[in-house]
Amino acid sequence: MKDIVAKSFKSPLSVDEMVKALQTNVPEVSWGGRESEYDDLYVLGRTADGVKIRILNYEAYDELEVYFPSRYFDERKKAFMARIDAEVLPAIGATEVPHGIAT
Amino acid sequence: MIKALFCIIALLSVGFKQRCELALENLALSQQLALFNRNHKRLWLRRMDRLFWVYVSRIWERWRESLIVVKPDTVVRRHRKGFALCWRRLSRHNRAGRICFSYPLARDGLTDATVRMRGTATTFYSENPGKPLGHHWDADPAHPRNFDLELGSAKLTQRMSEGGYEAHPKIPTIYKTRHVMEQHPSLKEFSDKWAGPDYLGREVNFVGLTDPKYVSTTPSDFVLKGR
Repeated sequence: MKDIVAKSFKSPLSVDEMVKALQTNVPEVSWGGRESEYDDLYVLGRTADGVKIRILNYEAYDELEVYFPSRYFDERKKAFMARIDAEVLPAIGATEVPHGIAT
Repeated sequence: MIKALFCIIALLSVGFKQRCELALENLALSQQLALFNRNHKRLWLRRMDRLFWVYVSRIWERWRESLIVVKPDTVVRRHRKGFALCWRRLSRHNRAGRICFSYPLARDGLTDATVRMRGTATTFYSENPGKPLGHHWDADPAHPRNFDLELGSAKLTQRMSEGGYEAHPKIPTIYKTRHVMEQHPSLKEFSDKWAGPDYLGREVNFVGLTDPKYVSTTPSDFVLKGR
């Protein structure tokens, strides 16, 4: 498994709404809004052991990127991604986008 | 018996301290007399004189009382200036407080890369044939945004196109941060380190330029504008 993993989805929430929803439902990750020159406003989450989560909004879809520290092994990465599917994506009302829309 | 012994030691140390202070005062006054004896119309302080006062100010509490030729603030200012210079040297090469791009770029083989920080007039190049690697840029704490750094490199463009990466969905002239970091692990490590609370506390994002006009094929001299 790679050190950077991405998932595409579509969410009806804005960045601020996503931050509030995630702070309520996934409190063990510290969530906040950030601004980038290229990605505009996005959601940034950080865990205590150094995993970074970015949720970016593109016009056709949203994208969740997980940046693992290099010391993470595959099993740990898989467990973390399972938690993303079970806790983070439902919290922001994510629905699947057609396969292949995101690169 | 023990009390008496302590008293004697205390008395001796006080006497010794007073003699020390007297000797320092004598030395300070003699040094200033020597300054006036030099054949200059204006008072001329050499580097050794300045160093002497910086040193005396560190070891002697009452140095201000004996200083006549310059104001005590001048000595303190020189001391601070010297410390700043020393700290600047210590801070070079990948230490906290400064960002050095050359190392991660060189590790990933992007020796022809140019790095530009978006939103400012700062332009700097990773490789300078005339000078050793390790040009630095001080992080501006007043800058409110995350750091978006543009990477322009012929090698990067070639690798990204060979790896099948597509351009940013909103801006077709760049590659996304995720794609650039997937292809270049050193840049991810660099970003992780500098975005941490011990360093900048802000995100450091690298985007790759796809537009050939931004990609420099020959290493240019180091340029630092607007700062």
